[in-house]
Amino acid sequence: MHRVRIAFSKTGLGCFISHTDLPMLFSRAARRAGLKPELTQGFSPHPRLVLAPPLPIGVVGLREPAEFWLASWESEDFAAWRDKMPRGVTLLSAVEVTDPRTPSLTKLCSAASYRIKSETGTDALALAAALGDALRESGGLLASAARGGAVSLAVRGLEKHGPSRLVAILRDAGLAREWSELAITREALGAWDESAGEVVPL
Amino acid sequence: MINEETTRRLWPLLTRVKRPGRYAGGEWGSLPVKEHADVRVCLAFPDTYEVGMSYLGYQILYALIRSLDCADAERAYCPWPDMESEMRRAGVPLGSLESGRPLRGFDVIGVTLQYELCHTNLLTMLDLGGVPLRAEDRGDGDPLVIGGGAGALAPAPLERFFDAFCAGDGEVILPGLLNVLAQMRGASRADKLEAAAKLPGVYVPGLSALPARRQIVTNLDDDFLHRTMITPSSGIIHDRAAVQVFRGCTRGCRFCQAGIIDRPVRERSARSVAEQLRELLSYTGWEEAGLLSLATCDWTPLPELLELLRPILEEANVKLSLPSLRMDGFSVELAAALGGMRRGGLTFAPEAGSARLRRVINKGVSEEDIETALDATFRHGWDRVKLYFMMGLPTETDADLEGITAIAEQAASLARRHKRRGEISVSVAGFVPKAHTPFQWEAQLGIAALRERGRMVKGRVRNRKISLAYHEPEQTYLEGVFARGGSELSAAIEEAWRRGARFDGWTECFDLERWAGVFRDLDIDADAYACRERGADEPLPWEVIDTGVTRAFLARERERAFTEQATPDCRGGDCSACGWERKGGCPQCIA
Repeated sequence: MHRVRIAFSKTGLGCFISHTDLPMLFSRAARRAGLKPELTQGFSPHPRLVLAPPLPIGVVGLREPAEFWLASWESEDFAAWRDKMPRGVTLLSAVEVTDPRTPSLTKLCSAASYRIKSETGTDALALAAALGDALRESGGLLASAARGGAVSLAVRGLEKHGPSRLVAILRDAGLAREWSELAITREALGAWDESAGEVVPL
Repeated sequence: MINEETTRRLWPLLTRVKRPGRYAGGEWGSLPVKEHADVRVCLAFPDTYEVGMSYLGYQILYALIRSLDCADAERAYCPWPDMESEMRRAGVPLGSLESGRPLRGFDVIGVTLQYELCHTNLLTMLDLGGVPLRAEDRGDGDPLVIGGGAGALAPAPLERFFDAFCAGDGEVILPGLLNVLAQMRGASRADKLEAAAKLPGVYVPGLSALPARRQIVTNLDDDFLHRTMITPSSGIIHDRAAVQVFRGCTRGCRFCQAGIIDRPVRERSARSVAEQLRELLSYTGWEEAGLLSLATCDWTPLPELLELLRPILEEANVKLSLPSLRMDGFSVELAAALGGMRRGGLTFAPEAGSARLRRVINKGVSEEDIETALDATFRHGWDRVKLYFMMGLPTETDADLEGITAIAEQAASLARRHKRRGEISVSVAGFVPKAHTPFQWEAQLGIAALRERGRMVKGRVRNRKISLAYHEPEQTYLEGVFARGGSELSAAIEEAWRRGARFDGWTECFDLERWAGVFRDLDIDADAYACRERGADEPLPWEVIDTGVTRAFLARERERAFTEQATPDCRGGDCSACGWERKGGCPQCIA
């Protein structure tokens, strides 16, 4: 059995495909490409895989990781798999994990970077300040800056500081009323590189 | 492909609605629109995405229309009320999933009419798509709105909204119709409709010669077969690769509209089905496959197909979903031989509780068949059984209804004997007499009487292993009004829609009071459609369509129902002279 780590993006209206639909979506594309996803044992078998912490509906993901277990794997399978994906969810890379000591995906994803822009013209500096203050207090802040009219944000504690939390912070601060007023992009998921000051994607 | 502008307009709406994935499109198999096409068709399904994507007919027609040089196909589904109100507030029109092109920008809107309680959704779609609701208000620049499916064979209640109806198999009607429309590109609406009215199987109200004759594909293997399917990116109801193995049904159940309007039986060969399924599985990546028909266990080459399929399914790790089972030992043995899919249980439809009433409706299932089927089910290790019945059937008495719980008890006791858990779930639906069937003249039972019977049956359940639910009779009533309705009902549909009727087939949306108010205000006697027995010589509104089965046959079958006489399955060679024996195309009669 081959453990294959993939990176994918969710863009355009593809952002509205639910996290829970992704396993089937990837596994059907893999089957179209002639690959055989391994199935879990048990009462109701489903494809064996690990997804990153969920990207809420309506959030763009530029480089999301996941891992699949496949019956066979050659490097050229990547192109075949990529070409069988539906629009909106794009396979960016697929590489076999050969070292059995490689930790699980969940362990490797400890930080995320986001780009957050107000659709109603709220100043990015105000957004950055509100997010910075709240996240610093709960220990989630790695970096926060206003750049080109948007906030660039790096956080740790992904379950606790996901996009829903970010929206809640801005709502509490009176800077946004609902999701539709914010364009949120998760740019990377991975480990925080302190010296470079950025999240290194898996 | 949806452009950036459409994406930008839809985006904020989709952040606010339930299940936004149903509006996202982009699925595998949904192809980029053709740059040039003389006839752009939008296949509009008047229910949610999850229901519409489960409908094999549109998968076939999408592939068929795409295969024509002159035409292109795109799809649209009815937005749920939350999305509808967001669209209205933002001024976003209903467009196709493929390009976002608003419905008014198409040449043809094709609407399948599968269920009477979807009628108001059709109006939602037309209105949101910028198409005038009434055919008479449409101009040369507006699309032709064309209906198909079972509802097109009894179209009177919908005539106000449609320019034309297709009676019969789309594979034989659509290529000719779309070619004519392509050649007449730029012609006036009136000229196009006049030309369409001359085509076989096309019914243009007021223009077509009557009756319009239903058209059929005579050899399914040799006709158009879909080799691709659109594979959804989010969960739908029937989430599997599907192939139809035959059309029609020879059993002759007297309540069943499909069994009459899909005649004659046309079987496909095992080889052709296996080949098609192999291609579909490889194209779609689906992990489950289904064999569709009105009664797949009746399909002659089924054992041969299972042999051919075994290596294909094993190789691709694909499960075969169980077809609906006849209630006999053969079907259960077949299901057991299929292996896999063992979880869950089996579903049967005895339809009526007593052998007498089953003779009335010509459901040829004996008490012995029922016992054999249930016994085999639990012997093979299944734990659950689902049983479908109807109430309100012609001649029904309390004794027939008591038979329903008796069969459920019998199932529970057989489960005990085989030491299975034996969870028996029983569903009882109110009987709706349908057009073009032997019961088309019957009075439907009213709401109060149906509720009383439902309560009576439910009240008789004493066993904790049995759960019984009966359909709420209000929806059954409205279904009955439209199933045999006349053209004055168009006004009621339009008015109910204006008063907010949406998704009437969904219990959470349905409101009979609203409809009752409309009927009252428009002075329409809805009971006269649902609950009135028709005179034997009364002209019936749906006789504008000739399904191929004669009125004389239906009348004869009605007589036989009341004298409790069975009519044998004609697959065995016993022709019951339904009308197809004189039209050609019936393989039973040729043999």
